[in-house]
Amino acid sequence: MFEFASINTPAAALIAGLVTSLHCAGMCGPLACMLAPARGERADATTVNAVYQVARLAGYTTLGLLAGGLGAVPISWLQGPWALALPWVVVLFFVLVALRIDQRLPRMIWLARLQLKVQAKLRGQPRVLVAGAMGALTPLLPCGPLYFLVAIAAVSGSAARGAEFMLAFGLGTLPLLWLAQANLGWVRRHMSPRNLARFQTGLALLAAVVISWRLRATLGFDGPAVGDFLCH
Amino acid sequence: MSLSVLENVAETSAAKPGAPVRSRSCRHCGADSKDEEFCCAGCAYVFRLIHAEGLEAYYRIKDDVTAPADSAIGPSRDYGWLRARQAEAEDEVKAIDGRAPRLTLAVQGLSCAGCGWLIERLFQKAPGAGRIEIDAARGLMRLRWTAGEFDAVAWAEMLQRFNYVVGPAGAVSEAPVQRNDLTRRIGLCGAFAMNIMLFTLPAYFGMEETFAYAGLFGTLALAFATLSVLAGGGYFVGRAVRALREGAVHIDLPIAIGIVGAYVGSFYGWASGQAAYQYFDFVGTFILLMLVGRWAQVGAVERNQRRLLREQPMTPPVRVRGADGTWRDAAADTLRAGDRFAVGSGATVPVEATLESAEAALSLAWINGESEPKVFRAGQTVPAGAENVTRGALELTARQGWETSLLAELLQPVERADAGQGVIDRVVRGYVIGIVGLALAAAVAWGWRTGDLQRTGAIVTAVLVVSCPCALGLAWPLADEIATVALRRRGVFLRRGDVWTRLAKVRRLVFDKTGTLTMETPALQDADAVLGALSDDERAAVAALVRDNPHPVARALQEALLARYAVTPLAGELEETIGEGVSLGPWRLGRAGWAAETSSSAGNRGTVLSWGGQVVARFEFVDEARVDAAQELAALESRGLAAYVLSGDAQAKVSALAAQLDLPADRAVGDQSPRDKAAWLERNGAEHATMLGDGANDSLAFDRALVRGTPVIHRGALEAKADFYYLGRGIGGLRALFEVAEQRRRVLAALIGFSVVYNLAAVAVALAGAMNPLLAAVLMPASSLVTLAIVGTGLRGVGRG
Repeated sequence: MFEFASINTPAAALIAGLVTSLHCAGMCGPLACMLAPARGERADATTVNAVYQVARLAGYTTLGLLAGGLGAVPISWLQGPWALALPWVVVLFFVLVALRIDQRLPRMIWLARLQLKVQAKLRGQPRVLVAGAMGALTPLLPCGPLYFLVAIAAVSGSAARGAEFMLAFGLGTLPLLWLAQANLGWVRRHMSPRNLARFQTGLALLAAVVISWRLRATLGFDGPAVGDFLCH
Repeated sequence: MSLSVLENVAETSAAKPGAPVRSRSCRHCGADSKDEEFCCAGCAYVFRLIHAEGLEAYYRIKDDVTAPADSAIGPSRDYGWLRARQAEAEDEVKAIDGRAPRLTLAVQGLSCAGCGWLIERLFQKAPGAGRIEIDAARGLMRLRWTAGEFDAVAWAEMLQRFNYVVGPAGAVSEAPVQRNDLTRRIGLCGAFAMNIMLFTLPAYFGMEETFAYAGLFGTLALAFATLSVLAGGGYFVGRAVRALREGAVHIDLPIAIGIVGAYVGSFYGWASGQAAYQYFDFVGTFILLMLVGRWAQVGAVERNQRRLLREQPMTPPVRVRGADGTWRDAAADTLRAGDRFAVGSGATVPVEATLESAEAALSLAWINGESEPKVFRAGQTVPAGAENVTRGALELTARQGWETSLLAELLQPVERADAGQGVIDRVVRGYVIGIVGLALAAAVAWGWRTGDLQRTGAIVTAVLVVSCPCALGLAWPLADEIATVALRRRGVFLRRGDVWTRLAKVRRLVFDKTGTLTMETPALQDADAVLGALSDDERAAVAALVRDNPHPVARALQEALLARYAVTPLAGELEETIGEGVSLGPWRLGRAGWAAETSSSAGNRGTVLSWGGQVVARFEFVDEARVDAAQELAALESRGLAAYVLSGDAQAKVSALAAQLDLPADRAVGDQSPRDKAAWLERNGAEHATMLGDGANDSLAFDRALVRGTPVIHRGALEAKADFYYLGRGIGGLRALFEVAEQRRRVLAALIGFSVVYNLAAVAVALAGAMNPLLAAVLMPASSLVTLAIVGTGLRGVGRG
């Protein structure tokens, strides 16, 4: 029985999203805020935000669907001790985020170029349309944490689970990004990049420690089974 | 337009198949017209004008009932500000090739889509007109035109004849319309709620938890519920937090508690994989319903508020002479003692001043209720608030600055708290305490008894979910909307939503006399016979003699004439003899002894139209009560509302009017200064009084009264202070106001009764641990439908007189 699926839950993905949303607010935040209608413009900020976020979630879900579907076949070959080691990939993810190593992961620059091209083509189009397109194309942004999460989604075991995993991840990033869009001034005043980084490091370490504690049984210590990672 | 065309229009439209010649509804505005063809002279005039311009399609587009054409169509307004803004707009684009000047203006009188259509057509007829965009929600229009060809002032004057008053668009006008914001949130949350249902219903229909897509469906429901909370719930949570910071508890707090409680519980259910906690469908539907309720509540009053100009100046600008002898426009509030200034025809003298012009006719009705204008000579002191009813401008020297002017004191805006929210505040406070207390009690009891925190959490969530205030958040606002719309159909427009509760405490109706219990202008006696006896030429002479003349007699004659005939005024230069009348060649209109040679003292009374010194027609005017005043006051009296007349006019005139209206003599109080009126009201139960007035002299009394209403919306005096305004030539709307308020009160009592019973039963089920998401999903919409049915049934036919 492949047990990685038990740790690879949407709840874990949502926590990952919440933690990395501090990074997202720095990366995607300016892009999202750029979409906000200017004073006097007819478009409504709430509508633009909502369309952008729905499209972004749809983008992540599609990416998860593809990753989960494509990864389902090779993952079925993995059995035995490898399966026990895989849950630690999630811990590794949080440690990398805490140490800010995710910033140095190689980026697929061609994706960013593609995104910029589309962005240029959309210039002058209605704000809601641009928000929808930019949200849907967000998965094309060169983003270390995103690649990592897609990799985890790829080992989720099925297209549906991969989609759910990435949707939950996107959902985790939603509150802070919405706040950044809706209260741009307040966020700028209260969340400097340095504070955001510190907060993210603290949260990521906390998540890594909690998950490690839950996974102690895989190292031979007394503790809950991997399948009990979350309360059921 | 030619005379014959207009006369034919009246006949053909009256003979139109299916069009009732006589009905209870005004043919122009659709309001109750007491079996007359039109409810007022203004409506008759605008109806005629619309047909003359070939714009009768307006009547196919407009709402059934719109606001009656008020007396704003008559008096000339000072559009100097508009001329200046047009020039500025043209200067701005002078250097830019091909760029059309643009201007945003406020417009008063927009009632429905028909108004927008009519204004667009009128704009297209104007020479040099470009594009126009009408923002009915904000009461704004944005114009573009060809520089040098379009005359904005002429167009504004034309709009005024159609009962639309143009004003400057202020900063407030550009503020977002709350109703529009709510509409967009409703659209988003409606879509989210439907998606939540889409992914929740399979579980209700038996989808196993092991189904391959069950997890994805649950996460999708969470995603859409989260978006719904952010896009719609944030509105209520933000407002509840702001109110709490101010130390206030209002309806948004229980709504916010319901949303947050249901969402947090459901989120926990999703994270822990427990279906018993998951109420995402409830979260989405509840937010949607609450937004709909708020949309209805906000929209009804917001529409009425936006019908009025926001930046209507209390007094129009004056022209002040500088030290170098040149004249410049200046705001009235910049006047200082010693300034030499001029006020135009129909404008108000803003400060006490010495008259420098040789002589002037000034109306003091605005400050003391005296309906008859007075003649002032050079050197005499003119009180602040006097209206220049001569045809030309007057020169004066200020004896005081604006700050010390009585007019400034009278027009001082007074902010009042929402004193009338007492009942709903108490209900909300009790509700919040009750529900939070019950949820805590459930937590303690179940936690102590079972020690099962998850089960306890599920029960607390269920209590918060089933007790959500649908009646308060949806049915109550809907009742307000229905009641407000019903009143609008009777010509009464509420400006403040909190007026309902205050109306229940009203025991006295205190009327100003001139312009409130009587019309603004005196009534022409036997108008049909007198005007009907004139030839076309004579009517054309009268039309010329009364045109652009702010004197009450001239306005009354003009209203009576235009309501009955389409007349092209005679051309020529008018001359005015102050205090006597006006002349045009051999034609004269004025005091009998001046206008015509008469031999008897009886012949010297009244107003006379003469030609070459010979009497052509004699006009008698009376300051009579509004058409239905006696009947309506009797009806109000039978409802326990005692009517009083409180006027600055002479006691004898006030007593005469009271006798005409069958009011006891002690209910007629005359010779009252503005301060006397306020003091009288304080001595005689201001806390139970509705004050009804139209002029600055009523302003101090307005500040003290429990409820304030005005029949006049074009002066910029009391509109901003009034809780409601009413239009038309009668006062029947007042009775409708109290009847509708009473009916609304009964419906709300039934609503509260049902809510208490429902909540007790539903919360008991939740406390017993028998509630589940499916049952909640059925109960919540079912209870909402019952509350809506209570409102719909209870208010059916409300306000139909």
